[in-house]
Amino acid sequence: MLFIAPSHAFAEHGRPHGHGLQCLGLDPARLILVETKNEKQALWAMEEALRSAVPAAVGGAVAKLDLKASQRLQLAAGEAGLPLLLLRPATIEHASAAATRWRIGAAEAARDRFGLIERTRWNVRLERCRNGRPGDWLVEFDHAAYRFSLAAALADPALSRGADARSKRLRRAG
Amino acid sequence: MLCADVSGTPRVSAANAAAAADGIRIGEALADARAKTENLQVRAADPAADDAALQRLALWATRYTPAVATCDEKSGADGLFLDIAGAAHLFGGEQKLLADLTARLARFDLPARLAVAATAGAAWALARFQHATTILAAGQECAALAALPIEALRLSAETRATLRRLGFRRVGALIDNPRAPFAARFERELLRRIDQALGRTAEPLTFILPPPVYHSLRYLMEPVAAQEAVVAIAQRLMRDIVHALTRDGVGARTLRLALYRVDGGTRTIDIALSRPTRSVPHVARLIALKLERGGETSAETLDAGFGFEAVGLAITATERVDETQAELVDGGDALGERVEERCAELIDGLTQRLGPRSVQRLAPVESHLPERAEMARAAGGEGVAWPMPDATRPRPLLLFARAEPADVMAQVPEGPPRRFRWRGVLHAVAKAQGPERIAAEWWRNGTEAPTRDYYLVEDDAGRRFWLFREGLFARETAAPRWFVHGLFA
Repeated sequence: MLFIAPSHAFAEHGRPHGHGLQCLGLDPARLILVETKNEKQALWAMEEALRSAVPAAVGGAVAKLDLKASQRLQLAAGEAGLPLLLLRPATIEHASAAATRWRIGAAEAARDRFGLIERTRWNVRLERCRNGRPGDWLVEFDHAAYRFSLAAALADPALSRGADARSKRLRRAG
Repeated sequence: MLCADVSGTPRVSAANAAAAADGIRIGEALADARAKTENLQVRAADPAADDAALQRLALWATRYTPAVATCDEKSGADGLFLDIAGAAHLFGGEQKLLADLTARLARFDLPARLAVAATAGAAWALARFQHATTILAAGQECAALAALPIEALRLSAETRATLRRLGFRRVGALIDNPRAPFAARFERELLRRIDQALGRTAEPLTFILPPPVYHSLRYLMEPVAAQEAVVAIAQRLMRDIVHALTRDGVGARTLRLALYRVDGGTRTIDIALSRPTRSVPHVARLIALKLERGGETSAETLDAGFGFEAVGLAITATERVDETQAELVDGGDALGERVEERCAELIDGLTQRLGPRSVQRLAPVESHLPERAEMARAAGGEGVAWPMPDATRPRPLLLFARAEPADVMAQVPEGPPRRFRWRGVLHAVAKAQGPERIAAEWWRNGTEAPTRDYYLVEDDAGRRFWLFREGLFARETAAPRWFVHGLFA
């Protein structure tokens, strides 16, 4: 897995923390971080990584992405058959060539009777999807079993509607 | 004429032919020199610039042979040694090589005196004290040096003066006399220099560049300037070397590409690989990426000038490569090997273009402080295994390199936060989990850093933050400060 972002994105949102990744059941040893000077280089690095077809997936964070650049990435990801996950700021509403667009917001975590977090939850909305229907889900992560799952239907989605301000759009290509 | 200050007096340090004809000697006071001749042009000597120019010339001279050394300080830092053993035949013999060298140096307006001999000492002496350009066959040093003055032996000024006082004028007199009295009277220097000049002891030379393991060089009929052309030539050079690499069962770990400009400038490009390779396209791609990267930063553009007339590719470090027989081994093993190799190629490519510290892997470090608990290291090589996570100690997905201050309101100074303002936005705390107390590592820098209490805080919108309070209230500080250190998923 390769994660690519310009250095200002790392400064603004923080760097991926190995111990934090482990808490989500991911192995930090399999992650390679690529820090670029600007967004142009980040886009180049993503395309390069996709064309090499080496990583299992490519992730990245860019703010500026025009339609042409997104088409290039979509094409590269499609040819390599690899998933490309782009994290974008929640406020941007440009068109892109991505296959899917997800909006992910935080949701109140499920707690045990001592008030400790038992399962963290996210409000996930599929906003755009080629050959598919958009929808809303509540996804949770079980810290004991290291497993993502859909939360029980009793969770009230209205609770987390306000979370969209921080939410990031996540596009999935390929 | 050049002058330099010697113990407070300006003295002549170098003079050209015209000045020497007017009787100006090196070492005399500037006032005396001015008295001898009218309209004397005097410039201050600049030894640093001299050294730099000699280094540039030495780099240029690597077009003849990769083994080039500058004469060291003691032997007068004003010349170059070229080890042309094994390189002369590429030019059609030593005679032709010397002719080529003379012609090219003359084009730079550099008068040069050249000599070829089997020992560095003999070549040094012949170049300086023989008027015609000499090529000395091995074994003839004794006869050739005998007629030269003792200055030809690269001796220190004191030794030379003493020898002169004792009546020795020619090297021959020193060679013919028995050695024991010299050994008793002089430092070891004298006999060592004689032995080195005659080839009785070896003289190690310090080459300006470490001699490469494999080397390939190509002279071009027409100078090239385009980047694609340079890459294409480098590819051909690599193809030449690959045969030798395959024969010896090794792959290249570091490479150096040298580009020789028509006007004498030399540009070298060093490339390090994360895995030994023999792949021609891979090396060509890395060179192309490196040149492109040079093109982005104006400081090191591919300044071709009037074009490059020669291109050399040297492999400076190799490593053993295990042979794989891809066509015989089927299934996962061969495929896994290929993936690892391609992964190294990808990392190399990204590193060449983006810079050495841009491609990283995370490695765990034994430390309680979250910002010290991991370390970014270069992505080449194997990933390090991480220890099992501790479920009772939650860690954020994103950690800020520097904890960011936040304004916090808490009910009691040592209690969890109720509300906090971070990056200009007010967050109301819905739930707070903690504290997890992390003490400073007093053994590391001696000073007592304050203790931190970490809280996992969820605000009313469900966003999860990692806050800490620095300093224990009333014990370490009267007004604890708060920081946001990370964000949870």
